[in-house]
Amino acid sequence: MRPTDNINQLIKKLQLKASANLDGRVHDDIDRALATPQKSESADAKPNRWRIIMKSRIVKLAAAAAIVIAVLLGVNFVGRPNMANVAWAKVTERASEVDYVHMYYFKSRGNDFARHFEAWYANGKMVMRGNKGDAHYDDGRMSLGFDEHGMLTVREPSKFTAGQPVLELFTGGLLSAKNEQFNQQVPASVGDDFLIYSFDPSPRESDWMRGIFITVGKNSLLPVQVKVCHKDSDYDLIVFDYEAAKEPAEFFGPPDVGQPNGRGEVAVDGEEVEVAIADAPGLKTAILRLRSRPSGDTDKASFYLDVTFITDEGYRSGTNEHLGMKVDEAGQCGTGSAEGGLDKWPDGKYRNIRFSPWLRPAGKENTYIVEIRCRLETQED
Amino acid sequence: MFEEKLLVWKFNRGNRDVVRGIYEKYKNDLVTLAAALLSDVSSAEDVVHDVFVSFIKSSPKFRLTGSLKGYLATCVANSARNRNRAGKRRRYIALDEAAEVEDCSNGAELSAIFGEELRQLTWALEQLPYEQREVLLLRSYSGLRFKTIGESQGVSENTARGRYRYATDKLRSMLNGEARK
Repeated sequence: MRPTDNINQLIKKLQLKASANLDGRVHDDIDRALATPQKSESADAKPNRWRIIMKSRIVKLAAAAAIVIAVLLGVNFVGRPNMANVAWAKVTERASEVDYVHMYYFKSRGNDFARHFEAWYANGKMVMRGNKGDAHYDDGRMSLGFDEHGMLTVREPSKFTAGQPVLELFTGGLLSAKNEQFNQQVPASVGDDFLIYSFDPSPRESDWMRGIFITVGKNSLLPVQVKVCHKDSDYDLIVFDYEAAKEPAEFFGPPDVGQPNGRGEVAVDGEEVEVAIADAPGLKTAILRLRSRPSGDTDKASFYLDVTFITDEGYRSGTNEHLGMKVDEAGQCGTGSAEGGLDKWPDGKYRNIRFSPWLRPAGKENTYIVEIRCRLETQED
Repeated sequence: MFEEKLLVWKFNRGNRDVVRGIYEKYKNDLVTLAAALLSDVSSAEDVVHDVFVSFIKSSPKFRLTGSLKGYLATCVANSARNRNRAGKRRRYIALDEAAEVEDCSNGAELSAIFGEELRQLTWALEQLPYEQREVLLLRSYSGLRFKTIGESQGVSENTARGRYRYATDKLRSMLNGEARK
């Protein structure tokens, strides 16, 4: 073996395959452990309880009597009987057909009630605006994120290309059509105009969440409000507005990503490259190194990028190692001093370097252009 | 990350296909990691088996704070560390004698495991103190952050970072032939 500097690359050459014996043992254990399917506490608990209650003869009689009295008195029976059986899957199905929605996300924390972000979706394009001025654009092909200073922070394939409906995206997967247990859930209550769906938190969220309550239009079958109740009095409130005036097409267009602060041609597993940084006060140089990475579970070439900055004073930042990079994608990163803190620079001052590397083809084999967008934040920022 | 959250969500609801999928996706990397730590394929597979049995049992209360691969890799490293401690005195009885370490059965076994082509690398890995080797392998195979590795080893992030640096320096030095002079 020849001497080499690339230890990681070498180590990754060590590859073993699990034996058939291990496969058999683990699969047997999976079968044994999951032989009795676990029921969803969300989807199944309430109907079961209802059935148990209805088995009681007295309750049956009381229910029958109530119905007779209601009919005799001409009371408008709340909710058509069939609406009580509308499974949540119908709502997600209807929601996936939406071509325009404006969403407001609020957070109630103690005495504070504030907008967290707003989002608009129209015909396959989406804009999200955070309360700090950050914004996210998705045109159905690519998704671009910008921080509050307008610096490009994220560039990645559109979420919609994977078939994720907009309401699923807005609610962090809650309104997912893939959610088999939730899909069978029926309304917890049926009103004149609305259906209320109630979901218990998953075990993962049960330590802080009390439940999720979703109000759905009875006629439209579209969710109009999602309320995520915490165990204390805090809650998150998501409001969907389907009838707001449509924004013009340019509203959904992302701003110009602008010029990078530094740009260099870097060979995969080659020498590190020094890139001059411009228009980023306090930062002088970025040192870049690109390493190969097994493609693993992705079909797109991916690499590890190591990034170090040199400040105007000549101080060296900590190295952000092993930043996973795919071609034509950008991500958001940050680093401090070489000592590992934001205020452990030689002069004791606070410096936080925010940066976003973008890997672009260079038209050469095994070589890529790395664009660096960066900003140095001081204590005052 | 969202995909992993969804996987975990389904896992917690006892979705058998998801559990199988998680095993199939990570099994080879985990066996490799364990074998590189323990220098023994049979023990490595036992470790991976034990980790998955515990993982399956953790449903439906499993909570994921980082990456799933990182979590499983940390479990493998913890389990391998326990096994290693048990046999440490016996295995490293001649640690202070370089020639004996070079010829010890563990090194030979690692070469046999990973192939002659990587003989010198496996030999060099064997020479590293266990903690340094663990940091290096966890970082390389699972991309875990130093902070997480440090927490797993019960040391600070800086110590983990230092161990990684010492490990790469030593390995580089040994692969350049200096250690055998």
